[in-house]
Amino acid sequence: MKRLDLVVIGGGPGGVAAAIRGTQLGASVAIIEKSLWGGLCLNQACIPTKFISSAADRLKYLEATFAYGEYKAPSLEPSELWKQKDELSNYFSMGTKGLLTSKGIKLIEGLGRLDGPGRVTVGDVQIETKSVIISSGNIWAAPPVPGGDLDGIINSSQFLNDDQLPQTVLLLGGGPWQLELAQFLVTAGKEATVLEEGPNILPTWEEEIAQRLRAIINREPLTIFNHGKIQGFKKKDGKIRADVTVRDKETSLTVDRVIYFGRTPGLENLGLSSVGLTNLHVNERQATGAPGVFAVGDVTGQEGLSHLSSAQGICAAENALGGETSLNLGAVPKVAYTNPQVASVGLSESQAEELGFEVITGEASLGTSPMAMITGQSNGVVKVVAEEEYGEVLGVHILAPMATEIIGAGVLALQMEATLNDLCMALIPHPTIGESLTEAARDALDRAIYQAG
Amino acid sequence: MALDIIIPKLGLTMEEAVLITWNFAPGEMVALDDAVLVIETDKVSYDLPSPGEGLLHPVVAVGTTVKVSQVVGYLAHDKAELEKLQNKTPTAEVGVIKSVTPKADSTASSEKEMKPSHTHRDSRRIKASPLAKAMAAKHGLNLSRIQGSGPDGRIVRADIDQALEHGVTAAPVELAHQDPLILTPAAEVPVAGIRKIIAGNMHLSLSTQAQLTLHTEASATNLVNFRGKLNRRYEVEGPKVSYNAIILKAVAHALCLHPNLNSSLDGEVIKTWNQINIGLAMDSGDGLLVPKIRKPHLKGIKDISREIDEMTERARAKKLLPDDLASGTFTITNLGPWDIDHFTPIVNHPESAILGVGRIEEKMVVKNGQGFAESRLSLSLTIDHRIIDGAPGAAFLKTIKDFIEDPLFLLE
Repeated sequence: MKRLDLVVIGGGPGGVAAAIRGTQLGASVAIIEKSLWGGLCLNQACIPTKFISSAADRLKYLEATFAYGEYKAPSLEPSELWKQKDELSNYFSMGTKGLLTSKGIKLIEGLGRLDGPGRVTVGDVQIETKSVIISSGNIWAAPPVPGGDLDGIINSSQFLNDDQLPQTVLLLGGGPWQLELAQFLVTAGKEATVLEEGPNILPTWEEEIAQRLRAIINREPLTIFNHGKIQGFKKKDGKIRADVTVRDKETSLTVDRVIYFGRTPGLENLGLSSVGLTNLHVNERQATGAPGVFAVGDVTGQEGLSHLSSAQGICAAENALGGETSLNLGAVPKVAYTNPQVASVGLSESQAEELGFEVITGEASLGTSPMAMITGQSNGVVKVVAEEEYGEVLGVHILAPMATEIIGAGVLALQMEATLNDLCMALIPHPTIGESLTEAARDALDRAIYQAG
Repeated sequence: MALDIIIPKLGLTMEEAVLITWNFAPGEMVALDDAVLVIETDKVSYDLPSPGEGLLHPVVAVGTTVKVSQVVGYLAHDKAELEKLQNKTPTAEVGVIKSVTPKADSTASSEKEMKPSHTHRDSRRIKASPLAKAMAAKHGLNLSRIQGSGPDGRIVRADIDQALEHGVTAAPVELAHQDPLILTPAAEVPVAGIRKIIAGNMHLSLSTQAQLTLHTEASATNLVNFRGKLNRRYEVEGPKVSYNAIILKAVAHALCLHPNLNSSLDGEVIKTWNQINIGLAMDSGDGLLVPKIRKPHLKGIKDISREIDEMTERARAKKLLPDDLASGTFTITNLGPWDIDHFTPIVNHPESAILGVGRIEEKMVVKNGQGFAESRLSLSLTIDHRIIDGAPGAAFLKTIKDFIEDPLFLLE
């Protein structure tokens, strides 16, 4: 094979975007994937989990609709749901391969590794290349406590492989994925417990929003423990006994399954030492410490955001081929597919204060939103964080139905360095849930229209 | 009661001026004697001191031609009065606020928010983020002079921060290293104020007249002696007589003898003036100014010298008024202090002639086959050949030369 311009190791969201951007820039590109085209996102995370959680959401929607007539609520049938979920993932995975092929990218299946400067090997095949982008993702890390490797303690991918839903589940951590899965289990008639080490769920997110979400969803049979720490696991009558401390008080709970989400960058078997690297720390251009070697996505230690991985892939490809691109990491959105959804971009109120801004905030409660009332989902709030001097929008935080869609406007606002006035002047259609964003911006300037008083 | 901000009459000849800048934002607090705005007549830029203290409500936009005595804005006593004024007359477009640091108690930002935005379409659209625009407005930065680093050259916060820290430069310096054929300005200064006036006048002069410059040299021995005698005489009470004062007197007498040099071409008519008003070119520090000495043919050298001193002082203090610069009929420019001998001065339009004075330098002169050293003065006369031919121009220069070589003839 003649020397290539770019070899991408890993066919997940970061790698696919990098490879395609590379060909757009005229490069000869090969991409190496060991098993799952489309990566964790498409096969074992974002896509399949959204398939099952949105099914659960639609059920809830139907339940709300029953208030208008006499229907019988359908029950959720996991085996059928699982079958369709797998079909969808397979469809997209095939589609990814087809997309890459249609761009003239060479697809190679196997484990790619660096083999000295300018060289990558897959099995016996050696490929010469001008640059390499590593996008090989991360690997599961079982809970580092006694009994952490017992049967019945499974990761989220293993959970998605089995359509026999456990009756009682303990989820480790209070992040967005845990909460989404816990709500799904409860809708499917199961019991879920969420154990979060920090003072509240969604640590590092806007505190007020996280507290409001907790107040909404922390209802039997979904139990949330804050300040909860796992101490160890034991087998007990075919079940798992989890020893935990909650606010330093020892207790235990017995469940059918424990689900963990811990992952760590998979740095072994990448041949890093052959180019003098011991880690894949990257700069703002996604460049590693080795010339011509770039890295993107989970393998760099970022927190598992598919949209960030894709953006990094595009950025890395441009830089690998001689460009000067860097990402605005201040405008990376976070999303939780809970019910109601949470979406967030930029600084929280307390983060902005810590950075020394003269902070002003504005809120619009969904209790005043006609569309939220119409659809029976008026639990929620839109919050805007800004600084006083210029009115620059620093953060947008949304707890609302379709928050993950509405946040796009907030991302654009931050990316374009919008001010509160810009948000106030933007016409958002009525009636929508999104119009609360404008109202929140007006509130920050003490100009809210639809707030009493 | 609100105070009126009124365009003053800066001199007899002044009727109108152009409002160049408001130095404060609408609603901002202005103190007594703060330079609240800048107007420009065809001759000078003038910083108008505030008539009092109050919150600014400008009603005339920048770039507007204003009449003497016109009210262009108000100073409100308090916010309530400001609002009343705003309801009565809309706030005018103030453009980019220059040079004045906003005060802490300013109400400018909230007032600006309330104001519906007037979309001022520049012929060249500048891409800048809303935040960058807000920051530039607050700090008085001209966005057209800032290089954007965002997508498609968009000006973003980082660029404004950079400009505030390092000042405004035009193009990134790295370009110069990349390509030796690309010129990169170190700074770009817009042509405005006095520089704009000079640029306009000079171009007008050379583009409308047919200018011819004649050079000659005069013996300066008697001139040097005469000045020495005068200054010994005035040693105690002053003034210190300059060469310019004596040369100006000589030129005034020469103009009496050659009235055709004291004239202007006005359309199809040559106007020869009754008055003789001789301008003396001065470097004000910001640019060229030409204050006039009126009727020097009727004044003694001592008085002329005093007037020149006074004008020089006022030019330095930027206190010259439009009348000081108006109605000239002839100009003298002296570059001798910078060791210039001959040059080709540009006529101060609509006058028709200008005398360039060079340095006094000791030179070898040959007379009757004998060489000897003598102080010599270089003279250059530019005339508008459309109305003054070479011979009459030369005759006028010869008259000046004769007066300089023997200043006693000034008594004639």
